[in-house]
Amino acid sequence: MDTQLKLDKKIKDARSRKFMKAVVKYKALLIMMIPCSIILFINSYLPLFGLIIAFKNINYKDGIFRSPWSGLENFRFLFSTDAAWRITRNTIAYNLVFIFVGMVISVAIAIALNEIRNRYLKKCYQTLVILPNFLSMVVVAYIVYSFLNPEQGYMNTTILKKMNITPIKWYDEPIYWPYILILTKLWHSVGYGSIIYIATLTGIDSQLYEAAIIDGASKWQQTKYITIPSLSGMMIISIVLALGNIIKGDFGLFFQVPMSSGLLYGVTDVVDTYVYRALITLQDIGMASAAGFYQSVVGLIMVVIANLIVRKIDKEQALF
Amino acid sequence: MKRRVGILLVMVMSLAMLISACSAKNEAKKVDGVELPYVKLTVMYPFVGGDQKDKELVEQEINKYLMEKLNCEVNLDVPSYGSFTSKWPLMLQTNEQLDLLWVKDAALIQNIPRKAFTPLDDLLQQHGQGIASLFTEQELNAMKINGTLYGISTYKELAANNCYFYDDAVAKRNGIDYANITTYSQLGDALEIIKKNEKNLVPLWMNQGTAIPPLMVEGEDPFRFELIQGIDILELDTHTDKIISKFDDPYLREKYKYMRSWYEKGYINQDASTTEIGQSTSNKNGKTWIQIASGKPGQEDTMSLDNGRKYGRGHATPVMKSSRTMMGSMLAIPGSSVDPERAMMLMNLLYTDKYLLNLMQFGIEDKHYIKVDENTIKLPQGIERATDSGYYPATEWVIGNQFLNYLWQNEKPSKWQEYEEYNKSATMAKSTGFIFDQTSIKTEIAAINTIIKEYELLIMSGTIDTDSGLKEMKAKLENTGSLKVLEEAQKQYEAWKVSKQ
Repeated sequence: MDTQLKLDKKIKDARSRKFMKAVVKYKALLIMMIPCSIILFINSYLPLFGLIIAFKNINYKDGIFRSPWSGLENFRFLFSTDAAWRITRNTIAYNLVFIFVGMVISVAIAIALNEIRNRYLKKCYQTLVILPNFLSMVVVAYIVYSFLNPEQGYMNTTILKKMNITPIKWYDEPIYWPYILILTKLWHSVGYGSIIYIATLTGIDSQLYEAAIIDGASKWQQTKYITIPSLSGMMIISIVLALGNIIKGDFGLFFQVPMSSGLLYGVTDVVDTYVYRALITLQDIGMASAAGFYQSVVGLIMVVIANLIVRKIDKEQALF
Repeated sequence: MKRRVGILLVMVMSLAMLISACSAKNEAKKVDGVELPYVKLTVMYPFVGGDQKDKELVEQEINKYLMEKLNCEVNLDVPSYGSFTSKWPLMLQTNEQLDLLWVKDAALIQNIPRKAFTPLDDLLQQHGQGIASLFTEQELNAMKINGTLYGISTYKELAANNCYFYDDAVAKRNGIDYANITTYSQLGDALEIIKKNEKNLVPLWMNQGTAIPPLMVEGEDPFRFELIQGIDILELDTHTDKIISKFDDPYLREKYKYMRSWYEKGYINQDASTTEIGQSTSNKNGKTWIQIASGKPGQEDTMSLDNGRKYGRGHATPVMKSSRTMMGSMLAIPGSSVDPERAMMLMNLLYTDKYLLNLMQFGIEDKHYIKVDENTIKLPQGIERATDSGYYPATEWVIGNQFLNYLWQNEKPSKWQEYEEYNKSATMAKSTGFIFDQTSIKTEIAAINTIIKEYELLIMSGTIDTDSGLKEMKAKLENTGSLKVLEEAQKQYEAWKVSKQ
């Protein structure tokens, strides 16, 4: 018994010594981690307690903790209209398209850029595709507006005129908007999305390609058997992380770009724009928190499920 | 040793703080025989004219005066209007010190269930006699919410109406006698002429936030329907004493139909449902010729000045006084005030102290303005616009008693008399004093808001067909519980009527 205890203590000591050794060994990395951890803590962990606002009938005098509880009352407005189905469908469907089409194009851009040998041209193209991402959605909305304005827009006054098509009142016609929104979003974000793949590509061992060339592999075969498999890990990580936001609509895109035209709500209304319209005059922080809470819970469930599926297929690639 | 030095340091510092706390500035003082300890109050209202260069300077001057009067100082938190609207809710939500806050009706009404404001009835009795004597009993009652006073209106024109103003030159050129246009069908004729003759003008500019013409349809009784305070979509039918949805108002439906036919004929700008450019901007740019505005005295002069062309007054809706018109610009004392009594004393000064009020409105004499006579001022030499003087926040209607304000040299000396007559000419609305309380049905209201925002602009700008649009909207509204809202409103109205007797 005594020896057993001593042994345990010895193991424990050895472990803690090992741990301390590791700390000393990686102290540079750990110090570098501190700022990020602090930001993560302040921005993501500290506000967690605020989630109780979603379940409270808040008043400012009693503050967050002493205000009376209200059960699920704050969540009711999200599901009490016909719009509930519409906003959920729109949000999820658009995000799925953005995630998968966006990823395919981002990877294609990354591979194409990687093939360019001229360094200056490469930088030039890279800057050009990333540039739209730095435009605010308000600016993007007005770029789209300058194309689609029914009276002065470029589409109606120039392009459609040349093709002898009668002008279209773009902001009154819902059928065009899924395409317009997807196009706008992809133009805005794929360049930025490709950066991570470009970085991964530079890390692929060039010996693999040399070996392939010796074996007589064509460019397409090299891409198919070397490049894409090397990128697949990164692709899976991006998808799983993106699925966590699947019920959050890009507010700037869906609110600004359609100029909040009522006729288009059928195809442009997402959870975020709906919540905005419902609460902008009401200023109810309880209901707003409820909407955010609902989005986060759905996001969490999606991430866990996506990861489960990935693990079923290939254990190595799973996030956790 | 090290620790001891630390403790010593802390002691010295706290002693220093103690001494400074007792310095002259922070002593209690006797004002009018009452002992008043020193406080610093935070006052928040919007600088309509944007940030002012000399704000600090004026603030010092104000504090010098207030130290003598009330032994207090103020911290003026005065963002421009745009940032004000997003800043005050955060101040309330985080319970930060705020002693006087400018609010509009909806802002006040919605935040009362959240215990954000202090009741003012007793405070007004004790420290606000100056204010109480300005308003009539009836007017003070109209500002009460569930029988309690929470906010007090700026003392200004307390009635309101809407009026159409026309570009005089355009009307003359086309032989339009705008002073006699009173109905929608007459306006339709005028719009037709403009559409034919003036290729560069949009006959009627509409967008989100622009109201439909303040004219009548055949057989309309303009006093019949009154919008209820506390919610923007319910009306009281004064004939039957029933609360209805405004979309069931037969006159309004008639008006929407005109809008639809005008939209189809191309009298209304085709991007009315999406454009952010409002009617007033469009007038400023010379793109259209009619502008809706308040019908208060002198409005046509202001507008002519703003737009750089002469504008003439057309038909106006009747001048009404109601809980809606009297709660458009108020001061309230938030629950986070450190000294509500002193805040009320300060508020009282804003309504009675000519020197203090004008200091806050126009800045320092001989620096930001020059006195012409007792009540008239002009800009200092070498400065052409008030906005260049370094301090002109354009807050005349925001705080205090507008009738105490100086007048600019180019304003009518009779301005305040005209305001007074305007106030007197008003008809008191039947529903004055009734304020709808949304608390018990806020889920329904939130859902209804989204539907109204989807349809209202499309219907009122004529972008979609009136009948089918209204029908579709009504079906959706009823699905989300609009009947429950109507029922609740009727119930509250009946209860209010009983309490009034």
